[in-house]
Parts: sequence; structure tokens; C-alpha cells
Amino acid sequence: MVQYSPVDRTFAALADPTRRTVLERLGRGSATISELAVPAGMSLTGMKKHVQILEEAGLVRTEKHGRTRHCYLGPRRLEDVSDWVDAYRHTWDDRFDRLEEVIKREKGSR
Amino acid sequence: MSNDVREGSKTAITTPSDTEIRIERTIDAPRDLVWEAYTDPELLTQWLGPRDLSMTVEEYDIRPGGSYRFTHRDAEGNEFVFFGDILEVEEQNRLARTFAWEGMPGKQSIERAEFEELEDGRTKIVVISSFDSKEDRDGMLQSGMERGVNDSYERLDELVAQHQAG
Repeated sequence: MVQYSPVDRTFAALADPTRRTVLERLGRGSATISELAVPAGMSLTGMKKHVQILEEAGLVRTEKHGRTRHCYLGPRRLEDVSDWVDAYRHTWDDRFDRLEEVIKREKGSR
Repeated sequence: MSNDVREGSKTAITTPSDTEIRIERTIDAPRDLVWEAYTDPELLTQWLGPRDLSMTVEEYDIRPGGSYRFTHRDAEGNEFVFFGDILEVEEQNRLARTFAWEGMPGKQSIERAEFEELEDGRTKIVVISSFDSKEDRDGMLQSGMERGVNDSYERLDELVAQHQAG
């Protein structure tokens, strides 16, 4: 049996576009499995599998309330702030690149 | 921990304390133009919002006591509204404001941006965001993760490919 390191699991979890969409969605607040499945056009079973992979990677945590499972962003954020910082930096890099582009365009049009 | 500058990354993100995020970037443009891009709502919409979201500015009253409000909309029609009050304005030098998101009622941070014109005609921007708690600060960093994840599919795919190949 292949042993996966936490890093392998994280990369594997993030490699799938559906799972990235799930993370993006959960970044805006918690959601149930069906709230995740419907916009993705998936079955509940299919979405459960994706959530399970994210949960194993520590990117998502779930809680059962009665008959519904609620999904939240996972605990990994607290252990590994440098990852968040990296991604945050990328966001700002992109934003400031556009700021430069906007100014270049403005200058050109004067 | 977070003081390293990655290759190809022009923005330095550091965490000077448990409740702060510091962003530093040098922009290849003179300060008056950077200030304009920051304070003109028309220009702001062209760079501030994520690429895949449309942005509208409902209010952008850049003077002490003024307030601002803008909305990002995604393809499905979901809206993300950000708002705050302007605390301090020093033309071309300094802009301080509160920053809040409707999705997290009662939470706000304070953002202080400083603009410094360098001798070579470029402009250094330093933004320090202060939060009420470490949890709030980490929540903001994490929102960057969601955004970053989406803005960087290609980069991530490359990493995954490299990792799998290795």
C-alpha cells in the first residue's frame, strides 16, 4: 500500500478543480454537502467523496447536525500559516501587477 | 517564517505581530499616478477585484470621515460587499481606513497604506492591516488562500506535476 505524506495529500486534494471550488465556496462560509453538490452538478455521494479527501488533507472539517453534514474550512490553517501567507502574497502580487497595468494604460491614453 | 521573498514574487508579506499583516510592494510608476489609481473609483475597479469577479463601487468618499462601499459579483450572481470608513488621508502619502466584509458581521480591520516615492521614480507601497485577534488575522490570510488557489490554477497544476514527477 502506498503511504501518502501530508504534503502529498494536500497536493492531491488541491489537484482537482471541484475540490478547489469547494474550498473557495467554504471560504465564504460553511455549507452542507448538498449545498456544495448542487452548484457543482454532482450527486451527494460524489461530493461526499471530494469532501472526504479534503478532510483527510486537513483542508476541510465537517460536523454532523442531525441528518445534515456541515462543512467548514479545516484546521490546517492554524498549523501552517506560511501556506496561507504564500497564497495571500500571490493574490496581492496579481493585484499590484494589475495596478501597474492600469497606470501604464492611463499614461498611454493621456 | 514569512519573510522570504519567493522567486517571481514582487510582493513581500510579513506578519509583524499576531494580529497584523504587512504588505510591501514597489510599483513601477510615480507616486501621483499610484495615488490616483488608489483613490479614483473608476481606476480602482480595474485592479482591486479578483479577475473572475466583476466589481462595482457604490461609494468611495476619500476624505476623513468619508466612507466607501464596493461589491464583487461572481458569475453565479453571488455578491460580496466590502465597506468601511476613511480614518486618515494625507494626499499621496497616507491612507488609513477601516475594512469590513458583510459576510463577517461585526468584524473589521484597520488598513494603513503608505506611499513613498523612490529616487528612481518608482513608488513603494506599504500596507499594514491590524485585526482584533489572531483568529481574525488568520481568517484573512486564509481568504487569500481561497483566492490564491483560484487565481493560480496553472501554477498549482505545475507544482502538482513537478511533485508527482519527483
